[in-house]
Amino acid sequence: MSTSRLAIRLYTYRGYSAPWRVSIMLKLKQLQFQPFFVNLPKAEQLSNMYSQINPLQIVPTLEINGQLLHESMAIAEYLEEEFPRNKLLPKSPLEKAIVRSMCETVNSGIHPYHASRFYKYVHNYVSDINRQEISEPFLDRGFTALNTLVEKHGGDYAFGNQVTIADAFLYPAFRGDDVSYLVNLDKYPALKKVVENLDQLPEFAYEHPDSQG
Amino acid sequence: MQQKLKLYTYFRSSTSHRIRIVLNLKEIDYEPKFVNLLTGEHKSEDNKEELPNQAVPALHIPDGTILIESMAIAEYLDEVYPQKKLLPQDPVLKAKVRGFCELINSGMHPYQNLILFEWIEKYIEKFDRVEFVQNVLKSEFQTMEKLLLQNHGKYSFGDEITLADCFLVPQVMGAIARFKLDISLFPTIQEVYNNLKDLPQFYKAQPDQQPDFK
Repeated sequence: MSTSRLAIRLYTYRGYSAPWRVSIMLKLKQLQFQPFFVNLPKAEQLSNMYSQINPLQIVPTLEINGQLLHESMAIAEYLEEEFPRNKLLPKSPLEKAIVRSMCETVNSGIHPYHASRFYKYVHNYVSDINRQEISEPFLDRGFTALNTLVEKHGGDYAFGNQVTIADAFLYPAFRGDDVSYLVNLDKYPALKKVVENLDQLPEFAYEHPDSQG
Repeated sequence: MQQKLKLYTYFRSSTSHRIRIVLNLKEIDYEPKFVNLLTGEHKSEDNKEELPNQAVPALHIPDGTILIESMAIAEYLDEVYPQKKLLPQDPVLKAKVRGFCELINSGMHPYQNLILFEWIEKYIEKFDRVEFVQNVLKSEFQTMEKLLLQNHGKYSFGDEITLADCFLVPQVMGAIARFKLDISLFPTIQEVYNNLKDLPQFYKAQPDQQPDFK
C-alpha cells in the first residue's frame, strides 16, 4: 500500500499500555499518524462524544482510509501485512506463532488483570483490597510465563535479535503508566534485559500524558 | 510414518474448545492429550515441560516445538494447513475477524477462569461466580451483538465460516451452560450460534462430546 496521502489516525492515551503498542508499531513502520487523545483515566471512551466516533468505545482504535480497526493485535497484524517495510514478524509460521504467543501472553494473560474495569468488578465483591493486591497473583503468573518464553526464544529482543511485534507488546506491559507501579521488573531477568535494550530505541520512547494537547 | 500434532486439552476449557473446532474444520488428524484442570494436572511438575504456561491448550508440533495461546495456535494452523481458510483475504475484513476473536480472547475469557474464581473465593466465602461473570461480561456481549449486526451473514462474518465462529461458539456455549447467559437478549448472537453449533465440525468439538468429558 502506498503511504503517500494516507490518512492514519490513532485514538490513544499517551503512557497507557494498550494504545502505546500501536503507536510503537506505527513508528517502527515509519508511518505518519495523527493522534486523537481520549482521556482513559476519566473513562472518556465511554462518553457520548467518543461513541459517535467509535461505537465500540474502545481504545486503541486505528482509523485508516476511513476504516475503524480495533484490538491492538488485529491492528498489529494489519500493519505488518499492509506495510511490509521493516518486517516485524519472522518468516516461518512456527516462529511467527512464538512471537504471537508472546503478544497474547501480554494481551490476554496480563493486561486484563490491570484494567480499570477489572478493579471495578472485583471491588464490588472485595472492598478492602488495593490494586496491587488484586493484580499481583495474575500479573506474576503472566510475567512468569512471558519470562519463560523470552528465556527460551529471546536474544537482544523478545524473539532473537530483531525487533518484532512481541517487543511492541512487551515494552508497554512494563513501562505503561497503567501497569508500571504494579510490577517489579527485577523479578523477571530475561524480560528486564530486553526492556533495557528497548529503552535505547527511539521508537519506544515514553511520551508523557501531559504532552497531549 | 508422520507424527501427529498433539493437542493438550480439557473438555470444558473454552480455549481448548476453539482449537478443537479449528482442527476439525481443517480435517487435521491429531492426538489429544487430556489434562484435568480440576485436579490440577496443569500445575504438576510432571507436566512442566509439556505445558510451559501451566494452561491449555498447548499444541505440540512433531519437531518438538510447543505452541501456546489459542490465537497464536489458530493463526499457525490456518497458515500451515490451508484447506478451509479461516481468515478472509481482504485485509480490513481480516482485521475485523481478528478483532472479534480478541474481544473474546482478551476482553471476555480472562474474567471467567478458574484461577480468578479461586483467588476471589479466598476472600469471600459466598462468592457468586455466575453473578460476577454476568456483570463483568454484560457490555462485552452487547459489543459482540453490535459487531455481528454489522458483519453477519449465516455466520459471524458473511456466509463463510471464519475464525470468529471458532471463538464465538465456545464462548457462548460456556456462558449458557455455566453462567446462565440469556441468549435471547442478543438475537444476532443467537442466530449465528444456532447456525453453527450443530455443524458436525462444531458439534464434535463440544465439551460433552470429548473422551474426557465427565
